[in-house]
Amino acid sequence: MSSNHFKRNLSVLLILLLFFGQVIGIINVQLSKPKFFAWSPYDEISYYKIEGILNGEKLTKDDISNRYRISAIGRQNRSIYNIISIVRQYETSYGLAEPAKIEISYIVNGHKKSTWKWPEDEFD
Amino acid sequence: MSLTKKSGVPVSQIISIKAFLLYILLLKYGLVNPFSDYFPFLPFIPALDAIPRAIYSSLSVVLGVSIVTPLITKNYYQSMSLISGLIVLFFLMSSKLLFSNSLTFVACMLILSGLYFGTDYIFRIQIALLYFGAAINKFLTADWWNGLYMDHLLREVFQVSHYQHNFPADMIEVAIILGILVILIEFALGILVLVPKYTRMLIVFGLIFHGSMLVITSGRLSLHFMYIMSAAYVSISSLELTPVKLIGGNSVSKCILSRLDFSDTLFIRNEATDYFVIEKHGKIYQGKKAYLELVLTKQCALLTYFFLLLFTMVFPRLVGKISVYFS
Repeated sequence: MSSNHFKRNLSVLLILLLFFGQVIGIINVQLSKPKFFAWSPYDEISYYKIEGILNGEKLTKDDISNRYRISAIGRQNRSIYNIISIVRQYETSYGLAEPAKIEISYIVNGHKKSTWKWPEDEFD
Repeated sequence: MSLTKKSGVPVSQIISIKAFLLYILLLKYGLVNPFSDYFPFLPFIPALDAIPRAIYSSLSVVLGVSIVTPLITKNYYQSMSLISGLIVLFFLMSSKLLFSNSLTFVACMLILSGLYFGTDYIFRIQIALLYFGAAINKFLTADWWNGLYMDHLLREVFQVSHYQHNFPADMIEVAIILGILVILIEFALGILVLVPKYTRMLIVFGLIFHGSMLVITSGRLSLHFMYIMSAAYVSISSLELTPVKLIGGNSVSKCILSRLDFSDTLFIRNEATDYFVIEKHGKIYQGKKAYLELVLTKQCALLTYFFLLLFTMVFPRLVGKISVYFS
């Protein structure tokens, strides 16, 4: 009986942790721009294009795809900051050995075009 | 939590678990490929980068086994769904590229199925978190209130012809109303799911909501969510199915049908008879009447519904892969 009681209490604890993590995710997305683990499917539609220069040479679409494992030109259905987050994380980790200059141009929900640049990590 | 027997797992749970496992097996099959070098890559927790690929390969194998075991043995539902859910969640944490709301929801529901201790309220809370999260995010986004998002989605992204022809670009009011309606519906669904006596209303409105998105966008939006939310709704439906015995007839067909059955309530009884016979509600039907009565069962309806959705999701991918292979 005590073993069942322990298992049930453990299950309840794990379930509460799972729910708490999701609540944190929903709150966190209001404070930070990328929308991961926030239950925000199709919140904004962004068309983007990634261009880059590595060692003085322009990266092709295939180079971009191979580098970040995402399309160089595409559509992001959650937040453009998800794409920026991916590029930023790559450039600050795996890409340190071969740093690239990256520009992501994007349009969110049909608004005017914007750009983000790396390594400046700035928006125009 | 039962680790070795499916007894104590309600039929609605079994259906839901099978639907989620099949979703991973057929649509996210890369996760069970131990030869993939997909993980880790840009993990949410940087420390995961230090985990050797061999560990991920091993977990892929474990995931494959945990998915297939309950489908084949009709047993170990809770333990295998807990293992599957935890591994999928771990994979999600190991790559930003893998992240999707539908896969995350499937992982959460599988974990909850594994931890299930007798109340379906845990699934209700999970579904409510999804709807509330979606509603709150939209509520706090200006473009959902000024119609820009909805207009852009219908006019430019999915180019919905009815919307383009009937509502000119300067007629933003319709988009505003649709945007606010979506927010209200998601809040309402989040509330309804928490009140058990409104379960039937929730399921009807939820299916209409997700189905409407499919229809409006000609099937391009929300097919995955239609499937996974259908599976989630089953988990809270307290569905009761009358066991049906399949007797006589072609044994291969009976075996296939029994295997495809999501609910594990189609039982084979091997008897030498000339005709195909079924026993349902204590009554015996044979021949054509037996086939008709079988088609009219809830088991058949569920099987048809979920496999139709799976086929609709899987077939285009299969065609794409084959055309790439031959090109």
